Amino acid sequence: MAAQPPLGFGLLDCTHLPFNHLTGPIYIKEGDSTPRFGMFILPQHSDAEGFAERGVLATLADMVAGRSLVIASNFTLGCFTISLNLEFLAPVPQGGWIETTAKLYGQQGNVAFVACDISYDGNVVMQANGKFKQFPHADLR
Amino acid sequence: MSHPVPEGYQSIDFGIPFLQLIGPVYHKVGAPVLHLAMRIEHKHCNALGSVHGGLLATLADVASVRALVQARNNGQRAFTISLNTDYIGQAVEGDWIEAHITIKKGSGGVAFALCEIKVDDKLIVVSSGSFKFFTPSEAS
Repeated sequence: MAAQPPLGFGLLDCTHLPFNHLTGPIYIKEGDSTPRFGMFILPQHSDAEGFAERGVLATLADMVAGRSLVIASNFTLGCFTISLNLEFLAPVPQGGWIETTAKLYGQQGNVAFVACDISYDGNVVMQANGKFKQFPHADLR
Repeated sequence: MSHPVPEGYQSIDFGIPFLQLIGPVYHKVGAPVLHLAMRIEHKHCNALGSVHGGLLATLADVASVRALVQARNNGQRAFTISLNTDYIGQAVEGDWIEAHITIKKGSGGVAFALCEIKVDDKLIVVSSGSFKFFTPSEAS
């Protein structure tokens, strides 16, 4: 039986997010002021050493930051990534459950500044800071 | 296959499950510095129909690490400490993207590399990263 995510998390519908669909599954916990996202590190997410490939964490952070901006705009704005700066603090083993939530810490016109740290077992394993350009878009649910 | 692999490129398998999931990944045969490439497919795209930033970050990361490891060629491996990526342009389904690596410092315990990802001559990503070398026996 597949591992179950923590209480309150449900599967994120990635039907319209092909790369996240490929590299998921991703779970979401809504109801708080900012949604929380998580995923299990499965065998297909591994690097040659058996830990989470860095690209898995980068992909999750990029999606969560962007998706959180879309949700915060009540699905009226889309965005694309201008820059993403990542610091890898610790490896994540296979089977590990990682979580993250995005934090908007600045806005300059249509450019949003977002932090999106990923944690595993209570510790931050990757720090992410990104800039995202926002634009009107009505069809991103 | 609607998009053939350009002449001089072959698929490459690093034994990395995540790359096997998102691949295929190709390399330019005989390149003096490892030169990876991918064909963008629908599965690599985001909700807007362009390539996902995570795919580009993954390619920049792997291309940098593997170029450093190949250049050192002493059995050591490397993992990423930091990766800073600027997204300058976009790629879409059908595009052939290539990762051009410049090793800024390949010696010592921590190495540094730049990666430029291009579609033809159009620059779409620039990344810089720092990478820690280790011997496999130390990690086990």
